[in-house]
Amino acid sequence: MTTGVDCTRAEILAGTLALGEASESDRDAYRRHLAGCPRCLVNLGGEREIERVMAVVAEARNAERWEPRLRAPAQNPPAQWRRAWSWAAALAAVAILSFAGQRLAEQRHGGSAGAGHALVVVHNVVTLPSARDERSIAAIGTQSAPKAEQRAESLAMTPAGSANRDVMPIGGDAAIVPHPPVTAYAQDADGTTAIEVMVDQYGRPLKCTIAESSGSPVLDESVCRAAMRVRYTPRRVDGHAVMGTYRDAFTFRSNPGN
Amino acid sequence: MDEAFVSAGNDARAQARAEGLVREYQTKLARYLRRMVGDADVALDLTQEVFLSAYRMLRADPQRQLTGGWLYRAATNGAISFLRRKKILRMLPLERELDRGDWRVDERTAASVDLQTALGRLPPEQSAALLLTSYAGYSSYEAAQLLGTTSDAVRQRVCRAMRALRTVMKEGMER
Ligand SMILES: [Zn+2]
Repeated sequence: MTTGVDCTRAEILAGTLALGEASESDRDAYRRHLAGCPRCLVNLGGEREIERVMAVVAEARNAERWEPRLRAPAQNPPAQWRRAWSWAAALAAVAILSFAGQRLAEQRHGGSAGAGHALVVVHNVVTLPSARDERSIAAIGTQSAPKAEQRAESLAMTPAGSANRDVMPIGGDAAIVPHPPVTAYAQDADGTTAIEVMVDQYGRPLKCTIAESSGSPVLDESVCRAAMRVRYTPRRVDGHAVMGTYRDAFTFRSNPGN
Repeated sequence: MDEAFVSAGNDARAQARAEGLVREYQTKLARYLRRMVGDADVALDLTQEVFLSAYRMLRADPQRQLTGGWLYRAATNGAISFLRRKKILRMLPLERELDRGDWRVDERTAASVDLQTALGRLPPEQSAALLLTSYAGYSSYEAAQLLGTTSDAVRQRVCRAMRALRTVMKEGMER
């Protein structure tokens, strides 16, 4: 063969050219390969073509205007306090749940239908990975990928039951997927967040209210954020789409297992 | 020796250094992550996580050197595990659609949308290779260090990413 380099090498050379790291001999080798390989000529393109494509990347980068402001990372209460707080939150959640259960039973048996806001129906249980999992993700370098998968599997949600709500997310309950930041795992956060989402006649979420807090603002925020991100099937009255309310609750549990 | 006192001092120092990192890198990392995952909210969460890990690392060892590379590596790992988790949770093929609501009008140029569409079709390792180099400004050697691979593997991934972008650009012309 006269071309000298194979097609894999040609791909590497194309990348080298794209990144502006090519020497003159790299360029020669690439040109010679393209001259003898119509497939790479079509798939990878010549030097001009590479420049044209990479210019798009540069243009996109230069168009970026987004400048988000983060919270400073250490606005957490001291460790012991946090732990006590999460216990308190867990206990409170249990109390809320049993209360909600009673109210639901009442309503099923023809009880007062008007007393809406205290009634939460728990159908989502989110199991958070343990702090140890999270630390291994932070321990950059080696084995974060397998750990991450383990984390994914432990993030189980189990839908069940009905609710007093007049709209539903498109895609069902499972369409709302909160992604609490790792802060929540670090704090061993636990608890139940109940939300009310006001939905307009087009199915757009207008406002999310925390009806019951889990005790962890981070968890609460993640639920509302997720709820505001989905579309809903609007409520219909006499064939007309009108405003409605979606109610939902998410129970978070730290996963002490791993 | 008063341990509580020492640890309070460490905490303050760790916090000061972490705040310095936030000031210097928050925009860069958030933009990188928004490109990786295609969603501003998720990118913010992931950025926050990176700084939280950094803070924790510094609290444990205030002398520790934390470079931009460390932050980018943490961000990359976070994005990749998010994308995998999303795949498992939804049990759908991996798709990262550009949610245009998250992007300002002046960011929704043809180039920006084409790039994001292409990134959404790529395995995250290829997106990361392209973005760490042409977005974050690392050489293929440095990007290889961050990704735990070789320079040639990074260059090849960049080439694959370019192919995807070319395809998207061609589709745009045909529309
Ligand atoms: Zn070839």
